[in-house]
Amino acid sequence: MIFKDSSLLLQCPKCTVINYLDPFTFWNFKGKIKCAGCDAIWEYALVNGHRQGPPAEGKAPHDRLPGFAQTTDWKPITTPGKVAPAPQAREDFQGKPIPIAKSIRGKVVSGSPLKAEDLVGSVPKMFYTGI
Amino acid sequence: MTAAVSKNLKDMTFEDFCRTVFDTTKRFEKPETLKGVRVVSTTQYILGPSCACYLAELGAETIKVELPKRGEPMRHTTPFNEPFLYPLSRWMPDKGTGLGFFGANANEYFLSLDFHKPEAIQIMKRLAAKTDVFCENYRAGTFDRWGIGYRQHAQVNPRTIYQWMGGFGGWGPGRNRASYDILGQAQGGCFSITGWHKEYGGMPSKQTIWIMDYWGGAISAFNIIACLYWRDNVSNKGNFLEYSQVHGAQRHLTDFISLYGKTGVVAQRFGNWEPLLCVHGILKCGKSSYPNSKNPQEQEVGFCFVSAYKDEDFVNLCNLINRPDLAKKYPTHSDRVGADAQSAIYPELEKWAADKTKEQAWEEFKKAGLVSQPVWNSKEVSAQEHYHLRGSLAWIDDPTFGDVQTQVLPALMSETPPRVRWVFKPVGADNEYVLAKLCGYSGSHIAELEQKEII
Amino acid sequence: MGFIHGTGAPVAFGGTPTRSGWWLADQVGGTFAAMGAMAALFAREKFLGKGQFVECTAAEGVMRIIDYNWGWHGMDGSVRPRYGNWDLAINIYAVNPCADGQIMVGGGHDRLWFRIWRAVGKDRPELEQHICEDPKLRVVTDRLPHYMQVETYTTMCDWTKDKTRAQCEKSLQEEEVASGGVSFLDEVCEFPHYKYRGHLEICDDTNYGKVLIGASSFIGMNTPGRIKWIGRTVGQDNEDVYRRLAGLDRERLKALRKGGVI
Repeated sequence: MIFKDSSLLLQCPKCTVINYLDPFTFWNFKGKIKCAGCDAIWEYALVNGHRQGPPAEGKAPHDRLPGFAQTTDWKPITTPGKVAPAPQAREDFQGKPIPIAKSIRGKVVSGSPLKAEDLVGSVPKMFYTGI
Repeated sequence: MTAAVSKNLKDMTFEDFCRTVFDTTKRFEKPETLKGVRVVSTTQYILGPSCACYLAELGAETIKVELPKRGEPMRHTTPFNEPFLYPLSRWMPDKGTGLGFFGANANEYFLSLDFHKPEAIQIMKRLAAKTDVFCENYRAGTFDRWGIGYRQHAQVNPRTIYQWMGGFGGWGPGRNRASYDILGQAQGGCFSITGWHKEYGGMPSKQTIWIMDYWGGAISAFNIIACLYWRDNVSNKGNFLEYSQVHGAQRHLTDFISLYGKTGVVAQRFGNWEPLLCVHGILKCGKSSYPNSKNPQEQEVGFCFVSAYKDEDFVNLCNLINRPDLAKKYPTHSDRVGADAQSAIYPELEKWAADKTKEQAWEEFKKAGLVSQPVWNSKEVSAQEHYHLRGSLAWIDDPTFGDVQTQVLPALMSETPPRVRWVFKPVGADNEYVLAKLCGYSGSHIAELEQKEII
Repeated sequence: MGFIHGTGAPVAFGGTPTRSGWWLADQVGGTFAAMGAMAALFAREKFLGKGQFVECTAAEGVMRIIDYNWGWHGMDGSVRPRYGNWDLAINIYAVNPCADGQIMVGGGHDRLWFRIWRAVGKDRPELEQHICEDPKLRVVTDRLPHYMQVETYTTMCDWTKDKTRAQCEKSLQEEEVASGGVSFLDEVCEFPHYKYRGHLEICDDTNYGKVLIGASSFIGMNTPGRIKWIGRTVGQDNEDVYRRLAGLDRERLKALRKGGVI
C-alpha cells in the first residue's frame, strides 16, 4: 500500500488497485466511488484535494467512476464501466498511432510508417512512382 | 490589368467584384507580397515558428533551422498520440511528425543544424550576411553568447531585422523564467477571466488553442513587416525587436486593466455571458443535431450564440420565447446588463431552447431578425463550402505528405495573395539546397557535415 | 469556428463549450488585418507600385490559428474535443488546482519531464518513483493518450494540493521548469516584473485623465511602439481633418454640422 495516505490517488484497501481521482471531477467531492479493480464501493470525501478521512466501505450504487486506474505493477484498467469514459475525437478511441493511407476525401496521404526503400530523398516514393 | 477587365470590374456588383479580385484559384498567378525577403527562423514550439510561418505564407523565403535527427519538440506532439505524417526525416522513415507541428511551419525550407558545434556557428554567420530577418526564441541572450545574436549579425549586415520572442522578455527581474503559451495565458491574466464562475461550477479556463503563441507570432510578424517598410522606405536601418508573450496578453486586456486602475475592481470570469452586453451569449440547446452519430463529439447537445442587446432586438427575442413580460421588466440595456438580471434572463432563454437543436434555434433567431450562430465543431466548419471558396481553408496536394486540409493566412489580398505551398517538410529536407545556395558548400562538404552530425 | 466547441471541460468532467472571457476573435482578426495592410504597403513601395484591396474576417483569423484542427479532421475525420485545462498534444502542459488557486506546469519533452518529477520527489518521493518507473510513460508520445494524462496530472495534483502557487513555482523553478500561477488581474497589474518593464503604464490622457493601460507590446530598438492617447471624443478632430485634408472652410463646416452630416 504505497498510497495508503494519498488523497487523489485512492488505493483500494481490498485489492490495492490505484484509482486516480482526477482533479477536474474530484477536487471537491463527497460521495461513493467504485474501485476499478474489485468493484468495492468506497465512501470518500475531498475538500480542495485533501481527503477528509480514509475510505469507508459503502453500498452500491456508486456516484462516480475513477478517471483511470491501474495495478501497483502498472497494468492499466480502462474497461468501460470501470473508469470514466475518455473524451474522444472519433467513435473509436485508440490512444496510439493510427496508420492512415487515405484522407477523408479518399486521396492518398502519407500517414503510415515507411521503410528506407519507400523514400526518394525525403519524400515518399509513391508520390514519384505514381500511386 | 487590362482596361477591358477594369471596366468590367467597375460594372460588377460588389460581391462579384470581390469574387473576381480574391479568386483563390488564381493565387499562384499573382506575385507574392514579401517576394525577395529572406527569413531565418531558429525557433521552436509555436510562438516563434508561427511568426516565421506567416511571413512564409506572405511569400518570404523562410529557412527553418532545427536540431538534427529528432528535429524540434513540436514534431513529437500530436493529439492523443493518434495522427502522424511520415517520414520524420529521410533518416527515420518509420517515425512520423505529429500534428502539433501543423499550422506553424508552412512554406519553409528545413535545415538541420547542431548549434553546439563550432562549424554550425560558421554556417549561421554565412547565412546572416544574406538574410533580412531573424526570428529567434531561445532563452534571451543565448544567441548573443554564442556569437550569433543581433549585435554580431548587425556588424556584418546592418540592415538585419532581428525579432526575439519569448515569455518574460530579455530584461527585468523575471527575465530568466521560461515560458509557454499556457503560461502566457495564466500569468498574462487571460485565464482568470475565461470559464464559468465558481457558483456555476466552473473554474478559470484556458483558451483551447495555443492562442498566446499563434497570436503573439502574428503580432511579431506584423512588427517585422512594419520594420521592413521602415528600413526600405525611411531609414535604411535594421532593428532589434523583442516580443514578450505576457506583455502581448496585457496589451489586449486593456479594458480590464483600466477597470482595475480606475476602480480597483478585479474582473472575474462570466462563463458564456458577456459582462458588457446583454443578451449577447451562448445558449445551451437541449438536443443533439446528430443523435444517431457514433462520434461522442456529435452526440453532445448543441449550443447557439445569440445577440439581442439592443432594445428592439430584446423585445423580439422575448416575444420569440413567449415571455414578453421580460421585455417589460428589463426595458433598457442598463436594466438587463447587471449580473442579477443576466442570471434571470439566460435560464429563461435556455428553457425555450431545451427542446431544440442548435440549427432549429438558429432558424428561429434568424426569422426574428436576430444575429445568431450555432457553435460549430471542426467537422462542421470543414464542411462549409464558404471557407473553401474564400481560401481560408484549403485542401492542398502537399509535395511530401499528399492530400491534406490546411488553414491559410486569412488576409485576402487582391494583388499579392498569401498562399500555402506545403504544410511542412521532414527534418533536414532542404539541407543540400540551403547550404549549396547560400553558403556555397559542395556536395562532398555537405556529406561530411552530415557524417559529423553537424547537420 | 471550432473554438468555442473546443474550449472548456469535456462532458465527462462536467464541462460545456465555453467562450473566451475577452474579445479574442476581434483582436486576432484585427491583428491579421493589420498584418495584411502593412504587407500591402510594403509591396506597394517595393515592387507593385499600386495599392490593393485587403479583406479579413475575425472568424477566419481564429481558424488560421486553431492549431491542427483542419489537418486532423482531414486525415481521419476526428472532431477536436474539449480538454479543459489540459492539452491534447502535450503532457505535461496544463493548469491544475493547488492550495490557493491554479498552477500551470509545462514540460513535454524528456529533459523537463524528469525535472518536474524531481521537484515533486523532493517532497513526495513515492510519487516520483511511481511515475518514473511506469513503463507506459517512457516515450514522449506514449504519454499523450487520455488515461496517461489522468495518471500524470492526478499524481501531480496530489503534490500541488499541499502547496500554494508561489510554493509550486519556487520548487519547479529551482529545477528550471516553466511554471506559474494563474494570476487574477490585480495580481497581473501589481506584478513587479511587468511594472519594471513597463508592460503596464499610466496614460495621462487629455480627455480622460490618468488611465492604467497595457502598453504597446512593440518593443523595438529603433522604433518603439507607444500609446499617445486612448481615444478621442466623437468629432474632436473634425476641425483639423476637414480643414487640413478636405480643405473645407469655416462656413462649409458650419453647414455640415447643422445638417447633422458631421
